[in-house]
Amino acid sequence: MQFSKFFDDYDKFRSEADIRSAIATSKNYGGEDVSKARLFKFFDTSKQRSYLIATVQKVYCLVDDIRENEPRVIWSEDIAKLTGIALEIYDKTDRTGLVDFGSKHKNWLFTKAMFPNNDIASRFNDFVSSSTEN
Amino acid sequence: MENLLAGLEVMFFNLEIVNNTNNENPVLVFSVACAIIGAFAVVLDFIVYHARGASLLKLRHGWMTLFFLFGWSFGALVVGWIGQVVDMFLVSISAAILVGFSWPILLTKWLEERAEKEQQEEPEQELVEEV
Repeated sequence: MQFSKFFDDYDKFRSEADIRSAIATSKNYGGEDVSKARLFKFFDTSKQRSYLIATVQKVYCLVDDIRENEPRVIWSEDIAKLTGIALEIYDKTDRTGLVDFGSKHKNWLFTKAMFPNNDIASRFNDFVSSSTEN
Repeated sequence: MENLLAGLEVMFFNLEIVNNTNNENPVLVFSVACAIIGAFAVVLDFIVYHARGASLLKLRHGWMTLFFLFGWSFGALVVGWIGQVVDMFLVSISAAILVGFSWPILLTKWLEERAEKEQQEEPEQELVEEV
């Protein structure tokens, strides 16, 4: 049980629409339609959430930290470069693991409870491939 | 049951102290009264949360409100019973209000401490400049 989830701090995270819009702040933003962007949330604590956001061209990695004024894009990558890759997964704590999104984006924290069968790799591949189909 | 209702009536509406001379089960009356007041505390906080957008008890209302409603009522019932066991309270409405309201606050403090400890132990993504 996460005790921090009892408190209303949890409501300070941005909405999914705000998260989609935030990719326009990326220096690599290519003018894609953000309204159709797909979200893949992989990390969720009382202060931070992390997402991958896929448009037709790119995947953006974004951190929503309630102590920051706005969500922040940390990296972006052409979607083709992430299609079909095998994720490397490591243990960190009881609740948290580490994942490498390819060789350039390593050691990203993910919340194990969001992937009960440790299926982050297959869920990621489904996410990327379904985004490519759109 | 009749004893309980009669005792609650004496406490809530006559504002009198319930004891062995006017009720056969003053401990039960007090415990249930504490539970009722505990439920009121959560309901009032829920109303304040929706009216003012902030919870006085710093709770995240929603579906969890049901958990708080039953959990805190039960907690107040147990604390009320313990209070009677150790002879801490008179069976009065003011004592029931004290237990009913302070029990949720004690639980909140406990939850806050646990949450704070949990947050200190939480790993965080590094917020670096975009690459």
